[in-house]
This record gives sequence, structure tokens and C-alpha cells, in this order.
Amino acid sequence: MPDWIAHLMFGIILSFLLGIKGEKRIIFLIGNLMPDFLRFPIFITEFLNLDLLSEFISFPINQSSHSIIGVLALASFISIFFEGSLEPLESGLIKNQLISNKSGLKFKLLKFQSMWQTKIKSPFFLLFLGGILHIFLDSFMWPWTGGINWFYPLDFAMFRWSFKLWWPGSFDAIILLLPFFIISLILKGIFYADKIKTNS
Amino acid sequence: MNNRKTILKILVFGIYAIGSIFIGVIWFLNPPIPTKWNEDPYRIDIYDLYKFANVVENEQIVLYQGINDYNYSESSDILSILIKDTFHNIQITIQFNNWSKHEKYNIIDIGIGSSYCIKGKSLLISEGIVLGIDIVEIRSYITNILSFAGLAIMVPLIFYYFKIDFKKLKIRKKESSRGS
Repeated sequence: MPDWIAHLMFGIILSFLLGIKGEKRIIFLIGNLMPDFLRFPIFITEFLNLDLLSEFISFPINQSSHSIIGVLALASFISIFFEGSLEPLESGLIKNQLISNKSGLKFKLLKFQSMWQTKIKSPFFLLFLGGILHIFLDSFMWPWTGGINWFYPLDFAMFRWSFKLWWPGSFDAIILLLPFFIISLILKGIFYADKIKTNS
Repeated sequence: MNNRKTILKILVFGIYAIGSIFIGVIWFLNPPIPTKWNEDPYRIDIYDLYKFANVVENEQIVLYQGINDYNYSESSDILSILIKDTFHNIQITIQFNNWSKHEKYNIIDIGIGSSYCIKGKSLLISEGIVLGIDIVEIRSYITNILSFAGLAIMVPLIFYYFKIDFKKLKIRKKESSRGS
């Protein structure tokens, strides 16, 4: 797996792109780390030299957490803690109407973001989306450590996907994501400055 | 909060966790027949290598394993790596010919206990060994350190989300200890 810094960078880039803001962004970022939460039992059992426990309990749970079924189950469980805590949605539809008559790339992007925000209705969806993006990023690793079994419990090599871009246990993921991260921060800054100017 | 919904969610997670453990135990005791996709090598462990020797013989395989012992012979320039499966009481030897000229990724020194991805050709039935092709060291400590750094970023965000004031918690604790 890539490290959590890489996953957070990827999550932040996508939250800017998809217009996921404020508290929703925090839930989305938790979702981006969520499949790795079950690595903690592995970490503990390996630290305590409990090989059998690691083999029979920690490893299978961690393997299944990096699949669509695992992400669904985890998102379902973790969303319990966030249910009902989100503030009412921004008035995406009103915003839509305001910008619908305007043209240009910037307004099209704003329109897309506004439409998207009306679709983000539950912490479960944010966590699920984040979890899927986590295993998507993990799929960029070389598959020598097993690959990502998207359709667990089906255990065929054809379901283990890898784009063979970087190795686990290296800085490759961070280095490759860094330019996109910086660009997204700059773009975010420009949009934010533009918004303040428009408001004033 | 809808209680029925919460119970259902806990139930879903419980079934998933127990089901994963159940499948994991079955796969550990009775591993599924290894498959491969296009030109990719078979991804297996030592036990699979023994159990499905007829499937993977003369095929390219990949092992992700901590090594138990190694021996480098300078005269023949051969590195032999020993990997054991203590649960099933089996072991294999992976042999790298022309080790000094071998292209290595991420490796400074071979070390006992470190984890490696090893690609090789299985010659198990005929010679009882795997002929090493590629080797990569998986430095999981880098992942762990960076992941803890990620955790350090996430914890304050979670505190912010739930509006938990860490300072207030500390003060309250002091007050209660005085009271007692």
C-alpha cells in the first residue's frame, strides 16, 4: 500500500476537483484512509510476534478490506459515527440556477461542482467514495505484494489489478503525486481569490 | 439517529469481518489453485509452491516473504536464499546466479528478517529450488513512518470535526483529580 501521506494528498486533490468542502472533506479523507484501518491488527500481532493470529485474523481482514465488499462494509460501519452530524447542504440548486445562464469553462466547472454537491447526501457515500479511491490508488503499485483484489472473495489473478507504477515501501507515490498536489493547491488559491473578489 | 439503521450497519460489518476471517482460514489451510493473468507471474507463497508444484513448474512465480537465511559464495558468485514456512514445516531455496552483476532494486544488503519480493522460475520438482530472476526489498518501515505522519494530520482534523477541545479535556481531568 502507499503510505497515508500519499493517500491524503490524493484525497485532497480530488476533494478540490469534486468540490467536497469543509466537514465533508474530513469525512472524505477518513474514507481515503479507511481500508488501511484494519492494518492496525496486523501491526499489533506482528509486533507481539503472534504469527498465527496474524495469519488467521489480521491478514484475511486486511486483504478483504481492500475490495469493493470491504469498502462497503467499512463505510457502513464508520458512517454510524458521522450520521446526522453534517450540516444541511448548501443550496446547490439555487447556485445552479444562478450560474446556468453563464458560459465558459470556469462556470461549467462551477456548475459541475454545484450539481455534485447536491448529490453528496450522506457520510456513507463520502466514506465509500474515499475507500474506492484508496484501493484505486493502491492499484498503481507493482503487484508483487499480491495486487488489489477488487472483487474479493473471487480469487483469480484476472481480478487483481495493477497499473505497475510504483513500489510499496518507497517515496515513489508521494513524488509522483506532488506536482498534481501543488497544481491543485495553486488552482484552489486562484479560485478562492477570485471568489473573494466577486463577493466584494 | 435511526437505531434500526445503526444495528443493520453493525450487523453488516460483523458479517463481513467474520466472513473474511472464515474465508482467510479456509484459504490458509486449503489454498485455492493459483492463477495468472496474461504474462504476469504466479503470485504464490511457499506452501502454494509445494502444493501446486505441478501447476507452477517451469513457470515464473513471485513470492513476498521475509527471508530466514542466506549464503553468498564468492567463488561461484551465487546467492542462495532460504525461506521457511514454520507452520507447514517446509522450506525452499532461491538461487541467484551471477549475483554481483545482478540488477537490484532498493537493496543495500540482504538481511535476515527483511521482506523481499522475489521473482523467479520455479524448478521445484526437478531441482527443488527456485531460480531467482529479480529481487526487491520492501521497506515497510518507510510506509509505517509516513502513515503515522498521516495519522498525526488526521487526528486534529477528527478533533476539529467532533469539536473536541483537547485543552478543555485536560483541564477537566485536573479538576476531577483535585476533587477526589
